[in-house]
Amino acid sequence: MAERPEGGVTAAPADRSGRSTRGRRFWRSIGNGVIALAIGAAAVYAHTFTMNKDDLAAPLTSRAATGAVATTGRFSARLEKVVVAKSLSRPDTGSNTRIRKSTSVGTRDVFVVTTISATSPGDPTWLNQAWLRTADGVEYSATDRVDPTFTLAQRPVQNGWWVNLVFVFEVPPKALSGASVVVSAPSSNGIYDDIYPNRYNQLLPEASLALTSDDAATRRLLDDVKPSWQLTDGQ
Amino acid sequence: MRAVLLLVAAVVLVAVTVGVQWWDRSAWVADRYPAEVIKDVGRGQSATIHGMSWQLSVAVRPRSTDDNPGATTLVAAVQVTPVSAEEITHFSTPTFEARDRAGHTWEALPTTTLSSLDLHAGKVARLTVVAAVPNDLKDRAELVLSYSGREMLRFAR
Repeated sequence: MAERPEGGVTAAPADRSGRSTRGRRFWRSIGNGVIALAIGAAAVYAHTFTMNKDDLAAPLTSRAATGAVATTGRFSARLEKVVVAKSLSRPDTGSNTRIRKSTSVGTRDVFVVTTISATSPGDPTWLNQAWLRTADGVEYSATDRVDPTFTLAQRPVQNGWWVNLVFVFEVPPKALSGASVVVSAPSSNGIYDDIYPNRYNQLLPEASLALTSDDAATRRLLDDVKPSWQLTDGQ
Repeated sequence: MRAVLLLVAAVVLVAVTVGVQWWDRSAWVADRYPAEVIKDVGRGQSATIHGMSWQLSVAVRPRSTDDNPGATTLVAAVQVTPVSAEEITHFSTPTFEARDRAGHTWEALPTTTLSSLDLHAGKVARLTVVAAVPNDLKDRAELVLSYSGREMLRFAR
């Protein structure tokens, strides 16, 4: 019976141990590689999380029920009054302040005359951007058929007191159900707004004020359409 | 031990990366929106900026029926005196605003503007500035004259 050489007893376990170590290294390398690939793939995938144009220009909206105050960081606003009319009577002023005559403008749809009261927590703010936003997201800008002189919508909103701003919209009657009046403060980046128009419009504050409390209130509003409505300074 | 070192290295790398980004952004913001530099001017005193000596006095305008119930109108009589003829050519009317010491500001508008033709070295030219402030601040709101955020004069009441 041949004897095994000395050390042969330990040679076989050493080989098994070496193969086992190499095996662990191999699988560890495979595991590391998989982890690295997963991290790389996740990083590449993360770059697809880009905002589209609408998301980039999305405002910070504060909503309020009819007559309630919507508070943003730059202003607070509430809807004071809504009148629907088929025509508007605009005072014509001459070189003196006395009203000498008025001009009437009509529409095939309706004029929605909204009076919004606003104040500012800090600096003067000009709420010269307003829309009527329907329940399904369609937006109507304030009509240009009424000069701001008669609505005073361009007066500054300042700290310490509330001022009334009037915005007039010309919209089809069916747009009123569930609609809101939206007012927004413009970007305040000074010359950068002139150099890069709309570049800094992200996260601008806007107040969305419900036009009516419910469909019944909308019907009452439409049942009470004024044949003519006289615009006066500050309503 | 090796894993610990790798973890420490990763944490340090992330911290340094975030720190550099934060520092770079802070520097950009500080450069674009520099802190205001306001020089306080005592009551009845004058101060010189851009070669023009400015002095003003503020009065409360009596209420009229058109005034907003929550606001009081301040009327400032502003005097500007060119220190020298050289500065007159580059003159432009500064921006005015009313302020309190709590960070609120109110619009203040000159009723007229001055041009270099209205100015003569050593002679006083006058300007009226009107501002509306909350009623409870009518005696405390101060008028601030500014050419930029770093060139401002605040006139004590």
